[in-house]
Amino acid sequence: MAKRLECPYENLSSAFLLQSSDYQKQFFHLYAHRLAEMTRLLKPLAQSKWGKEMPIMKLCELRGEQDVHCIIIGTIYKHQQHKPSILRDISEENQLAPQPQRQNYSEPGDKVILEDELQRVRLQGDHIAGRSLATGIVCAVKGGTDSEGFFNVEDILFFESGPQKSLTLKSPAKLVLVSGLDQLQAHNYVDALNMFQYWLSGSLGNSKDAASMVRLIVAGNSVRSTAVANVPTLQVARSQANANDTVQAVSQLDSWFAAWAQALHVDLMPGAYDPANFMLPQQPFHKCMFPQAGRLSSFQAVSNPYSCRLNSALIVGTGGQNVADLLRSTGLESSLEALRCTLTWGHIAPTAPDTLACYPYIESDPFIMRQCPHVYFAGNCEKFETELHVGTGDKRTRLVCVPSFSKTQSVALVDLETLDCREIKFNVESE
Amino acid sequence: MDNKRKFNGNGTANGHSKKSRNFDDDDEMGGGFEAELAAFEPNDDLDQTQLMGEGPENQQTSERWSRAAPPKLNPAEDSLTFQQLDVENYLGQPLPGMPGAQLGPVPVVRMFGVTMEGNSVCCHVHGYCPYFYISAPKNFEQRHCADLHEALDKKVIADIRNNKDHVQEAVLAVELVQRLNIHGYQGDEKQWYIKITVTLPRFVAAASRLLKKEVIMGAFDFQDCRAFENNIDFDIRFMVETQVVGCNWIELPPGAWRLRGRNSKPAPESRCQLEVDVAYDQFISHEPEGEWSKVAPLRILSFDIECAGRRGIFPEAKMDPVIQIANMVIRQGESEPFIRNVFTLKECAPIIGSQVLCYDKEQQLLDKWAAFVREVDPDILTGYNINNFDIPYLLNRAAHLKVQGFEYLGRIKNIRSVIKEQVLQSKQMGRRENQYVNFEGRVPFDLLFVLLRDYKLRSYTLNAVSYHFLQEQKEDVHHSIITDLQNGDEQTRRRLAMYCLKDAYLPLRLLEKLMAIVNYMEMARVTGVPLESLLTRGQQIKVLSQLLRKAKTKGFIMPSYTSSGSDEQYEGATVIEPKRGYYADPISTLDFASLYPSIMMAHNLCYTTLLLPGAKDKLGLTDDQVERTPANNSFVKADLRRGLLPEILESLLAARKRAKNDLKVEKDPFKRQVLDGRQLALKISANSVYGFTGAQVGKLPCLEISGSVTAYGRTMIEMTKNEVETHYTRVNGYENDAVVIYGDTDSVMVNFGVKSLERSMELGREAADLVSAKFVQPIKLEFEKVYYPYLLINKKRYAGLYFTKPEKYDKMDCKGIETVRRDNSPLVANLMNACLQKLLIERDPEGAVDYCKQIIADLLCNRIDISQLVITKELAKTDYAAKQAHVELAAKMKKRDAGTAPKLGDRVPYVICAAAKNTPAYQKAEDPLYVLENSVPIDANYYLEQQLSKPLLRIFEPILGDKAESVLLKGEHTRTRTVVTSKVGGLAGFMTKKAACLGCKSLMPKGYEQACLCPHCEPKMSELYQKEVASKRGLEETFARLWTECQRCQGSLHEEVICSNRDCPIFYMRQKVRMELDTQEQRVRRFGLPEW
Repeated sequence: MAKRLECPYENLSSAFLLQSSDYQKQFFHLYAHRLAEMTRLLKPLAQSKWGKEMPIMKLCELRGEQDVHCIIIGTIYKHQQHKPSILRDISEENQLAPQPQRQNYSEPGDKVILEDELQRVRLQGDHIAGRSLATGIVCAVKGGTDSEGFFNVEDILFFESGPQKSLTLKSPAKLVLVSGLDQLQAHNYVDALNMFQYWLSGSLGNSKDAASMVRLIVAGNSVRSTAVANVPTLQVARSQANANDTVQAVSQLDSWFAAWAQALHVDLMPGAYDPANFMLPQQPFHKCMFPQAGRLSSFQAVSNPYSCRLNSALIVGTGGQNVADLLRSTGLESSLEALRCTLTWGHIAPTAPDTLACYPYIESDPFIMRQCPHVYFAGNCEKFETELHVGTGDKRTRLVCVPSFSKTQSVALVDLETLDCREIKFNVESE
Repeated sequence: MDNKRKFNGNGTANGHSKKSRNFDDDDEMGGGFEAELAAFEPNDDLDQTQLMGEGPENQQTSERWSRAAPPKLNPAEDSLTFQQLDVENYLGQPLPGMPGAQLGPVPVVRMFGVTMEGNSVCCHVHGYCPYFYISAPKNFEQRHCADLHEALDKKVIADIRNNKDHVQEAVLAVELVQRLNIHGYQGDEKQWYIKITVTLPRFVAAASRLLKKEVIMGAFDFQDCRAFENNIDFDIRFMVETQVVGCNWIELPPGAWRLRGRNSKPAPESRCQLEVDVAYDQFISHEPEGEWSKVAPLRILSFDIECAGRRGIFPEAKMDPVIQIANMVIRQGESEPFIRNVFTLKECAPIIGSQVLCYDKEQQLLDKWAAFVREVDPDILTGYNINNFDIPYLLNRAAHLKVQGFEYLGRIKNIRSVIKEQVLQSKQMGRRENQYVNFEGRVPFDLLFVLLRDYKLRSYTLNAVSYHFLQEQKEDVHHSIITDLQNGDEQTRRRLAMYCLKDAYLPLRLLEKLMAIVNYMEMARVTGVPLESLLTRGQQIKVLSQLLRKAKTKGFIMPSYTSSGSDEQYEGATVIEPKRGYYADPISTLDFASLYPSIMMAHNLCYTTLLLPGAKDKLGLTDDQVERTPANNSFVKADLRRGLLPEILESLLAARKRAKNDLKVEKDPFKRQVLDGRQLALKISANSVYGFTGAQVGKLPCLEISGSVTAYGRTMIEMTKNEVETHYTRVNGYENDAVVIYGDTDSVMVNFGVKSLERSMELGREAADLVSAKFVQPIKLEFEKVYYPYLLINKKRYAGLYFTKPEKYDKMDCKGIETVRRDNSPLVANLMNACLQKLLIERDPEGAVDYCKQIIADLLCNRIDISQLVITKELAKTDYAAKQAHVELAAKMKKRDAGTAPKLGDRVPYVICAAAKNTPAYQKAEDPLYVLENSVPIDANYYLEQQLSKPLLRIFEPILGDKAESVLLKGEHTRTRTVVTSKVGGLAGFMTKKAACLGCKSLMPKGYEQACLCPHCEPKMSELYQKEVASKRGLEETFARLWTECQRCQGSLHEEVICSNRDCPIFYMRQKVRMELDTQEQRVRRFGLPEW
């Protein structure tokens, strides 16, 4: 094994680990905390953007129907006709014609509503493109009410994530991002996987390059990358007991990871369809699932979302559920666009808990981006896409849509010094 | 909140009514009425209970609330046109220059309506007087009229008990006229009748009674003279005479009317913007056709009230305050209400999009609300159960608090709205006691009444109804919380106001979705009765109104009929014995289009064509002039005399055809609604004509007609069967011998023995034409649909996939199968539905059996969601003779917590729990929430044997035959059962829990107490862990979907979900998933945290 670059690493995901859990709680706590914290963060931004004279008001202070010009900070709620609804699913009247699951249920007629601590108001205006907004975003809007009960928005402001530390360490460290290994389907691309393994170890004539690859993040769906077909029944949940095939796949994966972790550090995140818990944040896989790889100190299972500091760069990413859910509920066209949006909204997964399952936190919202990451990725995308996003205050973030390996047989390679990023393909036929 | 409501009439027993109104009702067949209702006293003057007083003036406070000012009109030059909505009469003084009696008091008809510009109109119609007929005694001649006039006048005046109205003239005219008796054919020679016109409606009854009982004129004996048309309501009589039909347009031509103004005499009496006088023969009543089928922009007010009740007690108007009233006003035809407001007691935070009006005193709130109603001037009042709850509560509460002038809610300034009781008896709905409140000129249109009348539902709570029709749940706040919210701060009251607003808004949406207003309006137009009577009265009045109209043009008069209460029965419709089974081949269905109406038309069945015994010889009729029906009655043929009923039916069906044709070409969605409503109204009306003749306690029953109709129906079904089976045979070159497998009332199911849909449709069409040709016009056999496949269970019980075109099925059609029975658990309906789907749509009988077994296994292993097992019954009264499960449970719950226990009028949900052998079922009922929280075991056997087995066997017997029971209910899948250990009762206190291995469930050996797996299972740790995680996944997903759904439904992300709507299918699920998820989490945790 070639000598590898050493580089400082710190796992920053503790906020995503659940030490205890309580399911007697409801989701309003999470929204309330999100709104409270984001309001605190947005207030100074709003005042610096629109001036101190403009009053920041609560909806309940807008007595009656007079036209007050002000700033309102609140949570977006999108009323969507075709939003998946468990009520509709179990409606006995609808049993005859089950509604097909829609790939995308965003429509021009979606109503955009802003809700503060106590009240709601319908938003309208050129800035309110319902198709590019999502439920759960906290934002500040400037405008005024009209007699019809609408709030006419003249301008809108998002938090755009917190401050960014500058990159201090100058070493040519590189990060490998892979997702969607889909071990259950791996017989279709086992050659590509082998190539990938050679490449990781530097045996593909890339030994110099390989020496600078310090870490591999496996961003979800290693076991499975599509949903198990659901059988509708009258019950809450039929136990999904036949896990035999996944058991097989997990032990297969164990061998791969054990091999890879010989070459470099491997961080394994669970994904949407993996045998892990369902709600975000998904907890790390249990050690008992990876007896071989688990023996190596260079291998670890981590949470999804996952955040760490590597070579002074802040890296944040998910298995892709946040992006996929936005693509379903909004008119956003590409994964990259959706990923960029979550960054500018300052929240990793705004649609959680509304349409994206997440734990009912009662004291915090761990998904708020309190610091601006240098590398921000989402796994299991249709194809590789990347962009260097420059935000306000010259914050630079490398956005990476990590392709699903089972679909593209490719991975993403990020240079942590320059924040350059490129796709490496292992597609045997095309090369 | 509808948990505060009660749908039965119990609460009204201690009522405040002055008198009860009895209205008749009937449905198609008649019979079964209580005889006492027959003693309906004709022309009882209902207005006597009105209390006179002086109501407050209308205020104008808001441009948005008030109607736009009317245009300046000059009666000499302008005409006034309005859509009339309500017709009623009152006693007034004669107006100089108007026809009719010139000495007061006189009856005046009041019509209320709206112009196309949205101005409200009150129109006084003068000069129309009530009358009736008696058959003239022998030798009574023209010259006797004056004597009778004088004598009867004296008698009637003497009969008045205390003449407080100072009546000076009772009988206005006595004439000898020639008319025909509608009942029985007696040739065309008219008979002599005495037409007696009186001054006041109530004298009709008095005069006819006196004529019967007393000697009026020595020379003549009137006691044997039959009275005619003395039992017709004055309003209906007026409408027939002037050709006014319900909700039609009235035009007052220039010069014919007078406008009342500030200084006019008489002074205006109403709150309408335009108040006018006209003579009864001076206005134009437009037939609702063409341009005149339009609808004015009516104002519809929907409202809902909230009361702060005491813990555990149903709100009483004498004790519990009204804390909020939410209002929505919409113009008919628009999609959103233009007024949205809520009146609240104490400060309430503002609601964007709705006006919030806060008051410190309840008196003030009520007073302002009443003023609001008067200012908005709605034409229609709606809401959910307003007739029996909201309106009486408000009136009683206002009276209790002595709010001056509150009760003047109608359009006549000095008439109070008062509560009366009314008993509605109908075969269709049973006996219902309702409260009725008068709102002169405004029509109370309670949505609940519409639903009870037109839809058969599992539950009629607003929750259930909005879920059923709009697929939306409604957040429900338990009544024990309402008072807490009211006593909180302005934000909690705002939250309450949001619910209240939603409860006011939903009825409007439902009315629109069901097109109720439009349909009822069309029904009023078609049948000619006022809108309001469609909701408060039965079918008879509709037919009566049409019959009177027709009879009048032909010179017929109707004898008044007193019910003999006879039990005479006639044979019902026929049923061809079903050949039960599951038919995988297409079954063609031939239907008689409007069978009963067409029989009546084809065979000229009518009162006027009926030959009474002996009449044939007396009139010297020949055999070919007379038709003998299969029921052995005789009717004259149409060339001798065309019957009235056939004519009515013809025009109804022709009008329906026109409406259907117009519907095809009409593009405008609102006009399409009107047309569709009309064609439906026409169809229902045509069918109710037959029912009218069969209603034995009706106005004019005629069993000769109804009996003949069904007899013809029977012979036609038989004949169709024979024709089809003899023609479609292999001998005649067809694929197979056709078999009629079933026939009922007006349809025949034929198995042609062909495999393709196309061919079965072709043959069906051909057969329909073939058979139709053999029947008298207009009876027509139509091919309508093919069932493919078809499951024939028994008489009136079948299911099939319904095809009208070969490409795709239209729907799954089920008749008589347990899907809506209210005393079943949802499990039954859902399982039946799923099985039928598998049988019919997926054509997979084996799959259906497997599914069924799976569900039974799930039931026995306690895997069925509890909401599927909940049975709901209304706690109507507590002193049932026999012990009832829900009553016992309510008592039990009261001991646990009196505050949240169900009260009288609430619906009690329960599940049946396991108990010791021979425990009676009523002791096994338990609160579903209590069951969930304490893991009380369900009595799976009860559900299997009492609920599922019968309906399941019924649908599976045609498929599995005799072994159905052993396959479904006793198979392998019933062997495994899960017994849940309860946390309460029995031995629960004595048990200790010992750690068991998560893999093999064995008790942990020593030294392993803290571990998750025993040494034997340890090697399989990864697998077992993944299994536990997989179960957790499913629960997590469900948890998230359920609780976010509630968050969405309550319309707030930042506030806690406090809804307790037990009708909601996810109410129990969300509770159960919480508990299961906690348990599952504990299991996963035993493997230790994933630490690296």
